[in-house]
Amino acid sequence: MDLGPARGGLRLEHVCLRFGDGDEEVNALDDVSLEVNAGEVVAVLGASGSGKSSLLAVAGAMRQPDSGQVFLGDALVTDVPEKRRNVLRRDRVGFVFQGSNLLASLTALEQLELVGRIGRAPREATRRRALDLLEEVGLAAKAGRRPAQLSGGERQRVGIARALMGEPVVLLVDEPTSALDHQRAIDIVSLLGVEARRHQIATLTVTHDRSVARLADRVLEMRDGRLVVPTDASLP
Amino acid sequence: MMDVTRKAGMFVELRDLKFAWGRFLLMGSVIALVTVLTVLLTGLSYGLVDSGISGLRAMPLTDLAFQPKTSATFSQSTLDATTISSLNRQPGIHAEPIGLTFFNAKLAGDASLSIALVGIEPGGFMAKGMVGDRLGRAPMGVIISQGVATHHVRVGDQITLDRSRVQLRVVGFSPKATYGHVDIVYAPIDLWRQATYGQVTGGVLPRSAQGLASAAALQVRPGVNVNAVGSRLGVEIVTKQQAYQGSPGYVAETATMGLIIDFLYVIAALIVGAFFTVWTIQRRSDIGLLKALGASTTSVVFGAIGQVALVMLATTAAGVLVGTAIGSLISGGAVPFSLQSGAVFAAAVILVIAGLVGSLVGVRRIAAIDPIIALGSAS
Ligand SMILES: Nc1ncnc2c1ncn2[C@@H]1O[C@H](COP(=O)(O)OP(=O)(O)OP(=O)(O)O)[C@@H](O)[C@H]1O
Ligand SMILES: [Mg+2]
Repeated sequence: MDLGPARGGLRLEHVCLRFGDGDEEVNALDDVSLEVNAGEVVAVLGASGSGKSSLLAVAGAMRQPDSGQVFLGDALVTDVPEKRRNVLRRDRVGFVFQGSNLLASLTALEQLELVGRIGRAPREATRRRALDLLEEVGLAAKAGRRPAQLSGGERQRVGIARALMGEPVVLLVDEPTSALDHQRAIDIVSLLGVEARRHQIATLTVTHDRSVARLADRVLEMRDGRLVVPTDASLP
Repeated sequence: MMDVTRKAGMFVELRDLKFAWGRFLLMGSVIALVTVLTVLLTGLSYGLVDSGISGLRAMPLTDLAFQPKTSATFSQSTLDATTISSLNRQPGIHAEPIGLTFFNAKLAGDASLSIALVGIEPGGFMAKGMVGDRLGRAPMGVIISQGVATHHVRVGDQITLDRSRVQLRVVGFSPKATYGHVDIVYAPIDLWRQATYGQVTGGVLPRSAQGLASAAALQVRPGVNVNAVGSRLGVEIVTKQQAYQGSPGYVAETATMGLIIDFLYVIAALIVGAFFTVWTIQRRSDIGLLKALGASTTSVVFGAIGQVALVMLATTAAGVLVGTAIGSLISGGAVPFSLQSGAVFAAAVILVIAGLVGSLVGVRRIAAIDPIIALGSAS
């Protein structure tokens, strides 16, 4: 078992990702290096098109960078065969998607159980863990509801619980609050912080909402594919 | 391992079926209707075959010898007694004369009916296999098949043949047997000759027609080279199955029905293909999410095809039930209809397979979906 210090953390080293070629070339990620420790929440701010989603795609082993290395815990995920990358993603990464991205036909409980099914975990243990996690995000009473019967904030909570199902090393969060009003956005990001620390997960969240970013342990900023430390002036 | 993967996929697909049942109901009812149509056409096609050749099929012979260049057609072929007895002398071959002529027959009370008069040798292997020893005791005695009997014809009744005005007397019944969509009446071969060749002489057999027959019924031992025998004796020998082609309308009917049924299979495949393509496009983001959550491409493909397979199985089963119910109402009436469970089952299996083939068009689309679409705008 890879517990202990080796288990924790997300590390990107000199990652470059380009789209297009010739005059049309876009540096979506330009020599990005970043380390997020277990239990830490890092927020990345950035304007539209600055490369936030690209950062998540590369960090989550969904896209191969053109150069540089990505580690999930102690495992290198760049330059490994696609099958292996998919397995590493399944076993080590939890995603919280923009707009929650739940399946319409599944109840809240089943959204979580699905992760166990995909990971071929035993059914009983899966169900118990799913119920525990729904309890953690305050939705135990609504476990039997489908997405259409939940509010936007509740859906996002289900999304967070689902991301935790696979006991990930790294939690990647894509614009978690874009569909929520201010107070609910604060609640969701606070919940993310609580869960990250409780489960000792390295959490990287991208957002363009500065007030949301401020709740993180550390805030970085994307500008045209480069990751920079924001000047105080740029934070409200 | 494969099994577990598939289950992970079906976890969502089964719930989709329950959740979005309305959409599947739409495709399902179309498939069910296609199945009903297929079952009915299968029944009709077997009914036509039955009424075309059931009498020939029931004959205890393996092959038939016809006059060459007559396309194995009874009405065009004539063989003489010498040829038939030469055939009978060949090692491994039993040969008997057989005559078959269509007549318009007058029943008691002026009702008229088309019949196929089949002449066979009393006491021969054909008679033994079909009507026992009941033929030939009375010179004008014939045995009618069930279809004629339904016209209230009883033992002892007279049947008058058109033109030759030969009068037949019914001496017994046999099971339903038809040829060229007409009910069969079995007669001793001499009586058949009198009726057939006496049409212009008012029922008197001309000298020149003695010993003639339409063809020779053969029982051939396996391994005998019938082609060699045929060319040596100047006859064309065909198997019983080949002789079906000589039944009036048989080739056109089976080809037409076969074509229509094949079209239905293609239609089923296209319906499922079209539905599945649209459904796959609608599920695109769901499939991207499943892949982002770690589901393998194999598992989502199997899940999607499994979903189609379930819908196909359920709806073809429903279609078979409805089709069989309608079919059993039809059969026994005026329409030639014969439901064979084997044929219906085969048609249903082909429909399900056609549906699965249709669903294959979506497979590449599913395989190509990038999990990255689950992430906001990076797609
Ligand atoms: N598949 C692609 N093909 C070509 N260019 C792409 C592709 N995906 C992203 N890009 C480009 O890469 C850059 C970074 O895109 P990315 O989606 O990471 O931005 P973002 O910060 O997530 O934007 P937003 O806030 O609008 O979601 C943009 O210039 C974009 O046009
Ligand atoms: Mg984005």
